[in-house]
Amino acid sequence: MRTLLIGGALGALVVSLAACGGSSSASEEAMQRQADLYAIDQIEKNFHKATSKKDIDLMMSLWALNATFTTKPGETLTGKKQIRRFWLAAPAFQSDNHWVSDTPAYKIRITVNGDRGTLHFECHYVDSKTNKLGPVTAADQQVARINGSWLITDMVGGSATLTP
Amino acid sequence: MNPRTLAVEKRRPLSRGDNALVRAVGRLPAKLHTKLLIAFIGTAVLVVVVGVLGLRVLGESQDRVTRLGALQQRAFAYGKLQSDASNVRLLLAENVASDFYRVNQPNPPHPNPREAAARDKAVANAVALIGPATSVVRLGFVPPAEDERELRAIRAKSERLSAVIRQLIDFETGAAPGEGPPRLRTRAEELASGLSQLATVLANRTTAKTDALIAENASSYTSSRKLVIAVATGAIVLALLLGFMLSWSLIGPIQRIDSRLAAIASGDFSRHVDVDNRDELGALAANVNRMNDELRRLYSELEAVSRHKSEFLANMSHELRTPLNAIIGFSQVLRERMVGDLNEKQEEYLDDVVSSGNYLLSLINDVLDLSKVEAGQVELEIAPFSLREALERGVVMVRERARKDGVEVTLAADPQVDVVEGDERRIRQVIFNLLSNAVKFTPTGGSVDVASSGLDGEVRVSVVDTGPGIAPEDQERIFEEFQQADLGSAQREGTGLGLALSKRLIELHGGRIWVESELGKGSTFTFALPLESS
Repeated sequence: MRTLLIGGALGALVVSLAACGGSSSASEEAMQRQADLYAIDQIEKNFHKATSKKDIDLMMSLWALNATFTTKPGETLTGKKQIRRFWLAAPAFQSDNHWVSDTPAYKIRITVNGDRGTLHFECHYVDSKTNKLGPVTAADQQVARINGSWLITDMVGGSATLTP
Repeated sequence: MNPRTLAVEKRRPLSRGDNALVRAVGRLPAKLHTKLLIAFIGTAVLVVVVGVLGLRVLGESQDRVTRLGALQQRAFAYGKLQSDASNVRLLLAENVASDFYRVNQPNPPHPNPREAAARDKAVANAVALIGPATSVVRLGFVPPAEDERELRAIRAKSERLSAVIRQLIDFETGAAPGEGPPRLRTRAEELASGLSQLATVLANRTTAKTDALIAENASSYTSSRKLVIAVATGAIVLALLLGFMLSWSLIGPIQRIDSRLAAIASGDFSRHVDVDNRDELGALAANVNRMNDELRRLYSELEAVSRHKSEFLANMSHELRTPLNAIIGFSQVLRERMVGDLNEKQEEYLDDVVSSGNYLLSLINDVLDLSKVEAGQVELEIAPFSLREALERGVVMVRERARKDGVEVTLAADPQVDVVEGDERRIRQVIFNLLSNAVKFTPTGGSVDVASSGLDGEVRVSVVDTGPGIAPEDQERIFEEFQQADLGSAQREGTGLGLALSKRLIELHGGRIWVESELGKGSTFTFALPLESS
C-alpha cells in the first residue's frame, strides 16, 4: 500500500515536471534578435577597423571558413586563403596608404532571421594625411551564425554614391 | 456470555489488505455491483484519458508536419527567388566595373559598349524573371502577410531595375563610345543589392521558421513523450490503486468471514468477525455473527444436556441394577432350594422370575450401553488381542443353545489374521451379539458359519446363517434402536438394541458393519476393522 502511494506521488511529480518547461517566450526571442542585430553590426565596425588599422587578422576573423567573395567581373574568391591573399594585396592594406574607412550609420542595412542575415554598408575611405575623401565603395554581405559567432559567408563588392 | 463483550478478531493496521483507504471503500454505502461498476468505469475513463492525450499529441504532431511541409515549399520558392536576385547582382557586377573593382584593380580595361550592352541585356532578362516569380501562381502558395511587404518591394525594385537597365542598354546601343551615366549604373547596383537583400530576407526568414518548427517538433516530442509516459504511469498507478482498494475491500472481509467460519466449524464461538462494510459483505458478516451467537447458545445447551445425561446414566445404572440384582439373586437362591423345598409350581414361577429378571437386566445393560455410546461416555481400551480366541469364545458361548436348537455352528478363522488392535471386551460383545442373533433366527437343521479374513488393510469377520433372510427394506432399519426384521409369526425374542449397539461399537473402532441377505436364503452379517488402530 505504501509502495503504491509513493509510486502515485512520483507519477504526479513527473506529470508536473513534464508540463513545465518548453519553448522560449516571446520576450526571450526579442532579446535574442536584438543581440543578433548587435553582433552583425559589430561585423561592419570590425571590417572598417581592420581596413583602417590594416589588421589582416582582424579582417580574416570576420569570414566563415568557406566564404565566397566576388571582387570583380569573372572573379569570385572562395575560402579564407584566397580572401586573405586579396586583402593583403588590396590598396587599403598597403602601408603607403593612410586611409581611414567609415560608413554613414543610417545607410547600414541589417536583416536577421534565425541563424542567417544580411549586411549592407558603404566604405568611405578618407586619407588621414590630406583629409580628402578617397574611394567610396559598397559591400553586400550575407552572414550566418556559425558555432555561436556571426561570420561573413558571401560578399559582393559594389558601388556607392555620396547621395544621402 | 454477552455478545457485545465477545472479542473481535485483531486487525493489522496498514497491512496489505487492511488500511484506512480499503476500509473507507468498504464503508461506502453502495452495493458490491455498484462498486465494481464504478471501478471498471473508472479504469475505462483512465484508458480513455490516455487515449485522448495520445490522440491530441498525434494531432499536434500532424499539424506541425503540415506546417513544415508548407514551410519547405515556401523555402524552396524563396530560395529560388534569392538565387535569381543573386544572379542579377552578379551579372550586374560582371558589367559594372564597380567602384569596388576600380579601387582594388587600378587601371581596369575600358569596357566594350557592345559587350556591355550584351551583358546588360542578360541582366535585363534575369531581372524580367524576378517580378513574375513573386506572384501566387508562380510561387505555388499564398504568401503569409508578413512576407507581403518584401514581395511587394521586390516587385517594385525589379521594375525600377528593369527601367534603369533599359536606359543603360539604350545608351550602350545608341550612344557614343563610353560607359553611360555612372549614376545609372550605380543606381542599378543599389537596386540589385536591395533586391538581393530582400530575397535573402524572405529565404532566411522561412529557413529560420523551418528550423524553429523542427526544434519545436523535437521539443514537443520530448515533452509529449514525458507527458504521455507520466500520464500513462499515473493512470496505471491509479488503476492499480483502485483495483487494490476495491479488491481488498472485498477479499479482506471474505477472508475474515472464511476464517471465522472455519473457527466456528472447529467449535470456537468465542469471537465475532469485524467487517464494517456497508454492502452485502457487511450483511453477511452480521449474519455470521448472529449464527455464531446462536450456535454458541445451542452448544451450551447441548453441553448441559449431555452433562445431565451422564449424571442420569450414572444414577440409573446403579438404581436399576441394584434391585434387579436382588430380584435375580434371591430368586436363584430360592430356586436352588437353599432356604427350603419348592413344589413344582413354585419352581416354575421362580424360573419365570429369573428368566424375566435376566431379560430385564440384559435390556437395561443394552439401553445403558447404548446411551453411554451416544453420550460419548464409552472409552475404548485399545490393545492388541487375538481375534481367533475371541471368535472361539463366542462360538463356545452359543454352542450349547445351538445344540439345543439343532443348529450347527462352525468357525473358519484365517491364521494370517489373528492379532488385531481394539477393545477386546467390546469386540467380543459384538461377536456374541451377531452369533446369538444368527443362532436365534436359524431354524432347526440349519447352520451358522463364522469366518475371518484380511483384505485391503482391514480384517473382516462374517457370520453366515441359513435363517429366513431379511427383506431389503429392513436391512438398514435393523441397525436402528428397537428395530427388528418383520418375520411375521417367526418373530423371535430380543430387545432390538443388539445390532444398534454393535454398529456403534464397531464405528467407534473406525470400522463398519453391514448385512447381505435375501429372503428365504439366509443372511451374512459382516464387520470390518482397520488393521491399524484409528
